[in-house]
Amino acid sequence: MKALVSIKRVVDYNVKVRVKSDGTGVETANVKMSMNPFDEIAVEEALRLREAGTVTEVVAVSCGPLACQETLRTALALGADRAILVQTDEELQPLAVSKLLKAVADKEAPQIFIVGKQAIDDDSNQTGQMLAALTGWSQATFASKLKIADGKAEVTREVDGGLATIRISLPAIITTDLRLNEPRYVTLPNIMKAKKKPLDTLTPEALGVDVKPRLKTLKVVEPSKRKAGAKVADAAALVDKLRNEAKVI
Amino acid sequence: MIRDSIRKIAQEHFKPGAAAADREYRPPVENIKVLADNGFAGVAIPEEYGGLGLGVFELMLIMEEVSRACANTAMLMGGTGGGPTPRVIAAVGTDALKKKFLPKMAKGELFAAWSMSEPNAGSDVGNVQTKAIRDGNEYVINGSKMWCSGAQLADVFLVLVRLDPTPGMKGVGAIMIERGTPGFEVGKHLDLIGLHATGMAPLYFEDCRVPAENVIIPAGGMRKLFEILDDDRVVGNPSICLGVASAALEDALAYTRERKQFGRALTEFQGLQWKLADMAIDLEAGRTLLYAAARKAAAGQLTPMDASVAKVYVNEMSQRVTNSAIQVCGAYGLSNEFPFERYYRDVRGFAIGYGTTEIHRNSIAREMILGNYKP
Ligand SMILES: Cc1cc2nc3c(=O)[nH]c(=O)nc-3n(C[C@H](O)[C@H](O)[C@H](O)COP(=O)(O)OP(=O)(O)OC[C@H]3O[C@@H](n4cnc5c(N)ncnc54)[C@H](O)[C@@H]3O)c2cc1C
Repeated sequence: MKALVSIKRVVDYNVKVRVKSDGTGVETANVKMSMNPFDEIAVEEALRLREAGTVTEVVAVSCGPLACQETLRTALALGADRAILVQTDEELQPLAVSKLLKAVADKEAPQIFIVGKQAIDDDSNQTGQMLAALTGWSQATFASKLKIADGKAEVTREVDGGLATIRISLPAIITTDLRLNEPRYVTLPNIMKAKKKPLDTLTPEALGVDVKPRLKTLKVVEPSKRKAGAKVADAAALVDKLRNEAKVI
Repeated sequence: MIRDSIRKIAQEHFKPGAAAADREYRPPVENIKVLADNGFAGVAIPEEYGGLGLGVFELMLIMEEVSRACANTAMLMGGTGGGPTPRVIAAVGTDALKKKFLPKMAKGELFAAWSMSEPNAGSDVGNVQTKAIRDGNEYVINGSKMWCSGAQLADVFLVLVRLDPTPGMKGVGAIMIERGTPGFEVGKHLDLIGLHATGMAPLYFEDCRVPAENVIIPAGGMRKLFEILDDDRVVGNPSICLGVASAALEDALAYTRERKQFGRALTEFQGLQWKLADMAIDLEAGRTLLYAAARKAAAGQLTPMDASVAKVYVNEMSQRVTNSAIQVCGAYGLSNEFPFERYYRDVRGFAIGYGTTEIHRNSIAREMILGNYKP
């Protein structure tokens, strides 16, 4: 059984993001970029399935500029068998990525496609769901546990009220939540091996996918700074302020 | 990618225990296991002996990142596949010695120490007085050694001894001696200003019998050893200084951003900004020098001048930067509740170990006078 995992290159979670002075987005020049943490979890889960003998091949896919190769190399160093980059310099919105991933899924015919539940840059939380809609495959989002047996996937999902366990047929799209696993470290011998693993490049044109943005970003601004608080003498003063100043009670 | 990976491992596993290792004088051997589990133990050991056969540059990066989290761990790494002993064994050891020691070192299972200095032979290595006298198929060793890093945990020691009565360096060679050999004793911990958790101790030899095949460098062969050490002067000692100085600046910056005096963050005072800027200038100058030297070493083009210039600068830079880190943090900088005083103590010895900065200035001057250096 083949597993595909999607990988997004994002601003590293340790970086304090800054909004570009023209308000068109956040600064990515000279900023450390890394693999989206939810995608790391996706790679880890695929590797565990391979180590358990369920999966025979793990293929990492990324969509974006040439620099995504570096992020894919990290996936290879974690242990993925090969990688595919759908290379484009266009801004890619979730629908475009879903379409590209569908095109790759059509070519590769995996039984399981593991996707991060969201990317920590735009926090859209859409790609996995739209990919399921486009492929017509079953989906299990926000997975915190995954078991594959008898051609079915049993997935524990983190939902508002607690945990829901569902069984779905394959092929399936799984989106990863934080507690699914703890990703391994990249080991030095695997970094050396990753250099020799295949990394193929495709383009949206070759896949016949139109990636033109459908949404327009009007403006990006910094969150407003929190104003200094005030101390009140007693409960009565607090009630007074809440009633007459803040007008919330 | 190598840097990202080792940084993550070191920050998550080594940094949290670094203060306790220092306070308790306890070598953090468990960190070597973490390194080994993630393939970072056998870095410099050739592939045929289970290592990765990586070059000087990668090794330097790894040492720097380990030191950024815990200098003691980096010192211990010098006793496994990242240090001078395996490199010497790989370069000049017999097949038997290579097979015996290298595969285990590559897995971080065998710990090696390096013993050169003696009570009367510091900078003057040629004055080694520990004697090895041939008796049949063995050498009988008598004498004592000082300042041996890792001695308390080492399984095997590369020891410089006088193999030949010829005075000076011509009579000096090196022999591998295993822990537990009768007549060989590791002394009490030597308590220096910093690097408390490296298990440093003196060694004593009294009629200690060692098989003759353990001789790794015959009398008069020391030049070869020093050539191998030139690379090591780049990789080991100054990379640790660079890592600790980087940590000091990183932490000092975080501290001064948070600390408020006169109603403002310390970083809002221009006097302090300039001090922080000077620290960064010094640090980056040192990093550039060291990286350039490591690249040359990797290409087999390192000159003694390059090695000495980088070592001296980075040693002294790390003293300045860690000292300034204390200054910008005030009394908190001096308190052992914060890491700054440990950084300052830990870097101090590097300007003395591996050739004092004075001895390296001697070599720089010699190269200049010989005409091997064009300004
Ligand atoms: C942290 C640390 C770890 C160490 N680990 C090891 C180890 O694992 N194995 C080991 O064998 N040794 C180790 N050493 C010992 C180290 O190699 C010696 O300390 C070093 O060689 C200097 O010798 P010394 O201390 O006897 O100083 P000395 O040689 O006595 O020097 C004293 C002073 O005189 C100066 N001086 C000496 N000769 C000259 C000269 N010709 N011209 C100008 N100035 C001169 C020196 O620069 C120094 O300032 C370690 C030392 C330190 C600090």
